[in-house]
Amino acid sequence: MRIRTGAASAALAGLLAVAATAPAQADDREPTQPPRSTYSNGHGPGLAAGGGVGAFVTEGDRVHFSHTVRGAINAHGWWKRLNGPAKKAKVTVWLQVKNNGHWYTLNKGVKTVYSGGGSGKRASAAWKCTNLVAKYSFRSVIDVDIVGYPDDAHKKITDTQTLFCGT
Amino acid sequence: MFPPTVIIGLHGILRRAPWYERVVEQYRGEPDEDEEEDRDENGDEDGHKDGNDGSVEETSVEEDVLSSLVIERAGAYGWQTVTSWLTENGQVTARHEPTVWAHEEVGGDWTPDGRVHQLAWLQAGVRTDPPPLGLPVRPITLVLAETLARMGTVTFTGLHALLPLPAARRNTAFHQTELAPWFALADPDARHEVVVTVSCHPGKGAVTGEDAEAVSEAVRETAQGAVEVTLAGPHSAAPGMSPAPVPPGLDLDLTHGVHTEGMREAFRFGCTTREWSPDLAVWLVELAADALRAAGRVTPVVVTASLVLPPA
Repeated sequence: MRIRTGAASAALAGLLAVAATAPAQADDREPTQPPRSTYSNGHGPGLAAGGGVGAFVTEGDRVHFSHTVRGAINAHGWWKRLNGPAKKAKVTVWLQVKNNGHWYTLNKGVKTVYSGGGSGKRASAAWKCTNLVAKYSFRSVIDVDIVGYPDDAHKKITDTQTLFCGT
Repeated sequence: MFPPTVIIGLHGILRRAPWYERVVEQYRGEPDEDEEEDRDENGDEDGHKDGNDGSVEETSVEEDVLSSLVIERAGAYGWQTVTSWLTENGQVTARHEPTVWAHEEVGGDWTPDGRVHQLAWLQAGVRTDPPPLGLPVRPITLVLAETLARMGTVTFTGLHALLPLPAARRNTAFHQTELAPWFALADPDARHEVVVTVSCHPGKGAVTGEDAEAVSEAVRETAQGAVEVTLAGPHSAAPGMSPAPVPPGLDLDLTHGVHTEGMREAFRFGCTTREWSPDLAVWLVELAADALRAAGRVTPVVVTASLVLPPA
């Protein structure tokens, strides 16, 4: 959503600097606003948002119980470059719970990674359940922020999972 | 309480390819930046609730390599296993959801000591609406086996499967007995001694040693001679008794898995087969699962199939 300013893209970053500072997500326990694109409000005429970055895929797993950590739930997000100049991206994953009709962020993971996936190239967010009796709805929100290039303005939300995990 | 989860694990000995160290390190790539830049003055990340940081991920080379390759390999077969969004020219042009299974976690142990290890395992969510016909044991095993084969030479010794039987419908479209001619096409003089075990949580509706005869007999009949069922017997069914020893072809401790903690072996039976492969092991697991369902034991179970005497 946001534009990451890398050394290789100083000129473009300058052009878009005004748009590069907006927060992507509400903080802890606050009703969550979706990540928003800063570029969509900041680009000049004739420059399509994300047009220069080429093609990439954002991927994520649904919120799920950990295999090894008892009573913990996880969510992961990563990206894969298909073509174009992008090399790295800041990937953010928010793990959210629904309460009183609103989505709240329980935890957030951020990692700046090369393309590819794998456990070393992904952002992770985890939550240690306070109990395994209460049933809640969970989801993750993923933002891939390509370093040095505008990407897209799409809110990427995984399907809601109903889990017995207290918050 | 867990949602329907399937876990498949392949056990054996991996002799890493001579190029393993060079190529795998290259594959993993340069170290990535961590979350340093997103920490505030207190060292916490934005949106982080004090006192609950969940699990801290320490990634191994096995998890790193497997978690990427199994997803891509499954995708190459047309099995979408994660949620994905395709971005082209600044626009999201496609979104895809998991189809056959929903990838959750993966791992393995490639310690090069010549001993049997759980080389690769995969945990996945099962579709619930509508419930699937059967469970994706064979496709998951296939991508795990193929991924391991990229790393070196695998001596396969056993397979284990956590099967959420209540989450799946009886497969009325394909019947395991239809694979009997497939596995009958093998050297009739070959003999492999295999042990099949069934474990579950104790309690109402649990599988017990009393189910051993019915299940092994159903496996014998369904296999149509492609597998000889040699013996059946209860194990560790009585509370307080020490657990039955884990078959030597497995590196499996049910007490360590979050989903299998508390499970106990109900019974095991022996088989003689004409071939030994992950493919054959899946068939034995699926035969046992179908037999359990037919016996009315529709509960989460762990079924294993492994060599009685792993290769020296």
